[in-house]
Amino acid sequence: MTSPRRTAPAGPDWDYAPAPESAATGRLRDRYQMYVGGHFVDGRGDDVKSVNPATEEALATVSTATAADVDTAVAAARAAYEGVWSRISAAERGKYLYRIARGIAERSRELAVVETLDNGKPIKESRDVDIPTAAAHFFYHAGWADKLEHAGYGAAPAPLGVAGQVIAWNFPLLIAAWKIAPALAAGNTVVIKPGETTPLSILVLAEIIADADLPAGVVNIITGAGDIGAALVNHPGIDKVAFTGSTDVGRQIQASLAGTGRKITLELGGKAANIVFDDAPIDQAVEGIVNGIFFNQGHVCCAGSRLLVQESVADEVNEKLRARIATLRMGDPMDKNTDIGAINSATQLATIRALTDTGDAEGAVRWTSPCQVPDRGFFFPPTVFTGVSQSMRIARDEIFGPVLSVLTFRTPDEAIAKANNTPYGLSAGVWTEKGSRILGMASALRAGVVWANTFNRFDPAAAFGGYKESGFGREGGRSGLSAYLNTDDDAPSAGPPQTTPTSPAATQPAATQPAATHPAAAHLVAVDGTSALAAGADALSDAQALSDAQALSDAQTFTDATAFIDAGHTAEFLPAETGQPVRALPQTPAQSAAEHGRLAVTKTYKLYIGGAFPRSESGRTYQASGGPDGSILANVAKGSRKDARDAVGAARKAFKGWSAATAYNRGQVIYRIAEMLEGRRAQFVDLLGGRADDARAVDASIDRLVHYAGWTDKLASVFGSANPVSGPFFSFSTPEPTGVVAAIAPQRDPLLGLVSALAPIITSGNTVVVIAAQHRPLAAVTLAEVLATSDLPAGVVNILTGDPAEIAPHLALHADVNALDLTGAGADLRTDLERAAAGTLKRVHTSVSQDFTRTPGTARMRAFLEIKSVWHPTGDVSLAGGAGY
Amino acid sequence: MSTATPPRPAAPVPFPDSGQAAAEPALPAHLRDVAADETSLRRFLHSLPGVDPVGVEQRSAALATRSIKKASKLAAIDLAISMVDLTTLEGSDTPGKIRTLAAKARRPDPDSPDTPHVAAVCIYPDMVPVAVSTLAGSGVGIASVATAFPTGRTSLAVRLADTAVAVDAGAGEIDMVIDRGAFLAGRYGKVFEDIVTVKQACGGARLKVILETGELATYDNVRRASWLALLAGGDFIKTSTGKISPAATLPVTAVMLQAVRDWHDQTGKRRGVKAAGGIRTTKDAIRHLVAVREIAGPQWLDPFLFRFGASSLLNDLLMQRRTQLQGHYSGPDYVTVD
Repeated sequence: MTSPRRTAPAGPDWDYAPAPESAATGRLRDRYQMYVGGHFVDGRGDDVKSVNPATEEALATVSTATAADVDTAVAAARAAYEGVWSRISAAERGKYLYRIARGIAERSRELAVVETLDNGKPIKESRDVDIPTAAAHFFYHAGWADKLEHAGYGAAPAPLGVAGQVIAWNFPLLIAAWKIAPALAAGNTVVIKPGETTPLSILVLAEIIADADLPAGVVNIITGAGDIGAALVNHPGIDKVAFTGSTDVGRQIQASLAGTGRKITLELGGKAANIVFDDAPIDQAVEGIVNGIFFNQGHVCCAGSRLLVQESVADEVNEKLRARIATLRMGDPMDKNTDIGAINSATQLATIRALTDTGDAEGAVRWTSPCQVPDRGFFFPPTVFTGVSQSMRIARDEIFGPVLSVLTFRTPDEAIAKANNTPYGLSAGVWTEKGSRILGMASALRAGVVWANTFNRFDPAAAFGGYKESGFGREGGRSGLSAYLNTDDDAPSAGPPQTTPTSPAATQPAATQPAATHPAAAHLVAVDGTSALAAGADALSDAQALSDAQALSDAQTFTDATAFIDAGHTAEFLPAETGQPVRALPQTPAQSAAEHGRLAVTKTYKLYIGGAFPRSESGRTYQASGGPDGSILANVAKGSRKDARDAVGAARKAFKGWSAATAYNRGQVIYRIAEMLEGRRAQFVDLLGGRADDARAVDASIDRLVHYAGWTDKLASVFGSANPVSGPFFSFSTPEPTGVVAAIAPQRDPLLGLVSALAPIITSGNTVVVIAAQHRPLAAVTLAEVLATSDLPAGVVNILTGDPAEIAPHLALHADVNALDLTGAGADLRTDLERAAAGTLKRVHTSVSQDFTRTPGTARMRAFLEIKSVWHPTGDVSLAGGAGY
Repeated sequence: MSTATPPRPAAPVPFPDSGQAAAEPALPAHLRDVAADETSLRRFLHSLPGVDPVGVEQRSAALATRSIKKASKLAAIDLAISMVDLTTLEGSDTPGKIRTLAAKARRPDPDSPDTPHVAAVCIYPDMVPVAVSTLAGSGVGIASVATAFPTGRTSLAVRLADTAVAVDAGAGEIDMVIDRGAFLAGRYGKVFEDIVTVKQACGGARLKVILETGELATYDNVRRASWLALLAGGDFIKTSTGKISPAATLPVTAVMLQAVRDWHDQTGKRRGVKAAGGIRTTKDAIRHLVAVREIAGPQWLDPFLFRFGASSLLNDLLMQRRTQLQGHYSGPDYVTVD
């Protein structure tokens, strides 16, 4: 009997026909204008053509800006800020954001097409990720606008003003949303510049914004190349800078803004490790590896560009990975079945080629996916290098392309060491079915986002941002809002500053300072003037003190060390090298009893490094004096470059243990220091000068330690969050210590200022190298003796004495220092140090207020905390599709 | 006696190894002794990589976004039709019902003679003689559920007798159920022995091992049961009886496709997967074909290695086929109900 068989089904040859999205959906125009002051306007720069990287054909002409246009845009943003945006109700702001979100959602298909044509990314990604997530950011932040008082930054956190934002080309619309939405929700106005090669989608967003009737000038979009970006971030009319892009440009921005006090958010490069353990869910890990490095052609700052795979499963993972990569379809980004689109520009393609060539040259083994490579357009096939070692460039440099470097490890420790062995710290992936290891790894990885058993997940409710040279500041979540709010709760309240109540002259200088518009400056002047007046025996004339104070006030900035010592409390020492005369302390009974009638033994104070008291490597000392008659009391080590090096080394060594100590233990250690200080209260009062003010300073120092000791086990509760992300994931954000902090203690309040600097730094697990008040170091060096006999592990606090101007630059340049507290640095020194800090993108904090008598806010702790977001899938309780698929 | 099987692929596929394969040199060394005893079987199954549910569900969701249009869609529909095990498993089944089912299996769309026939009919053992008489020489296979389908809750002797009824009547394929109770209690050796014994009872008939994934409840269990069935010599691993929900979801099928792919990687031999229950639309079927292609590989796009266990799916495929050919949507009255 013959079979009634008719057609032969396709069988193994069955493939997908091209399924191109229609370019007409993008409704591209021939020419696009900038959007400034509520109008679509021509820039004064030359028109440029935006190119479709998949075809190398011009898509549209785009008007560009000149520096003069930056001025116009900033002025428009300023006018909108002052005239409208800061005046309308928060609820109104929220509704505008909601309108924009709706507008994006309604035009999502058009935006997806525009994004894919201009950027080269596959339409399925722009359709399923970029555009929906951009809308989600506006929806999310719309809801924040009238709830800022619940964000944890005080009852009425103020916006910063005008934000200048420069963004990258890899997620043009999505990053624009990440920048614009929180800025507007917090009450700022913005001037934003898209990537040079991808201006189109944000100019469609401009239409949506215009259609939403957003007040003119609240969002201004200017186009152009890097020079316009530089003009924008350096523009004197802006109050806040946010940048997404390369680490090198981020460095330049931080350096050029040194000393401006302008709040900066930098979202920079990465070289993320994706770590696969032998007990991983291998098939899903392979998916995660593929998603991690080939999503958006690898043009992702958080791409999992380094695969760290446990040796015992390395062969299996490599085989499965190659088989999986071979199924990726590269080609026309507009085809709905395309997995890998075009490289964004010829320049980027050249960069990828050059870097992968170094992989060959350095001996790594290249494997290239057998996929079809289109014969025109900028394409680079998925590439995997095996046999990669940590020293190769392809393991260290950000390639920003579809190139994976595979390294192996044997133990979790080795995985952590290799993963963290990079100047970057944006993201990391961990694949293991073992829950305890997930949490252990998530904690040990120095990265702002840790994806466990998943990768490349983004949600407006989960903070995103880097450690180390991946930048600073966060986007998304509660912590992302702080980038656009004045969160410095150290600033004095509007009420009268606390001054010494003993002198009737106390309030006088403050009352005569009408020009001190900055409340902090006014307050400083008041205190110093008071002290100068009260110290009648001081060799300095009152007039001089007031003059210094006036200068400070006029500058509306903070005084440098010398100004403070001269204007403030009586000097108690002679910097021998200057040859200035010794000035006497006011006489105190305690000192009189101790010193009169015998010749005191000259004491030499050394440095305090790693729990020991070494002499300065330089062998130098300087003289600190005190006592009622001004006789020399002590020689103090004069710290040098090598001492800075040793202190940073000690602090780094101590960091691992101190940061891993339980919050309870850190608290107990700090409480114990407070107890010990209490026991030596009288000694410290005498050291400071024996006056009632000095007693208050010691008491406040003790209270400060008690205060911060109690913070250790509250930090994660107060600054962390559970993140209600979309999808079947549990996400939480938790604060972690930044690392090694270098601090310059204020010259004023040599004990209280020092303690106020140290305590908030170490409470969260940071370690610190602090330069004591140069001219009044005795309290600091005596505190070192207390610390040395306390339970504080060696190296957690290291105290250097000497000239900050000599030592601090070495700390600011030291690559292993993660953050600087420049509260005690003078304005000029501070600018220089900030510029130096930009070399390795250190976090820099300066307390606005140097009024250490006030109950501190949280800004000083937050300045040295990183927010880490951790993600993990949920489910595995049913096959019914808990994820909703 | 007829042992009708579906058309074999042009390139001969090595016939799957039998239940005794574990003792044969054909298996690589690391698989040879894993079923030697209960302990080593457990150790092996528990050493399989875990399955992250969200990961596999998201991968499946991504596969579901593949856009299959035009010629590619028509080819997929024909391929899917040729993979259908047209099923009726009701207490109300009669010889008349089986005859109409068989007619539909041979000529799914009488108006379009170029429509491929389905892979097989799937029926209860007592109905096999009816199917044999109507399908002889048609190329349509006869599959019969056996082993006290759908629960399997009786003695092994009864299950073997059930199998024998089907095989003796001429079924070319046996769809057995595993003892889910034993599996969930961790008695993997018992499940293994059952499958080996039934496989022996099948003689030349191909054995499909129904895991009833809806009762296994986790993807890890699906993976372990898949490997257990493959080790015991199952020619196919099959998701479901169709009597329990959820049945064949795309992620479950994906996990089973990974298992046969891995089996091939380790043994060089290809085993089949049958997604049964819950697949009712052409869209669902095509998504499964995409998963077959991208997870197991294009070689599995063959009725010899992939099946849909379904009843209503066929008519949706036929309607969509007409839509593709005629350029407008078809309606249920234009395809035969059975």
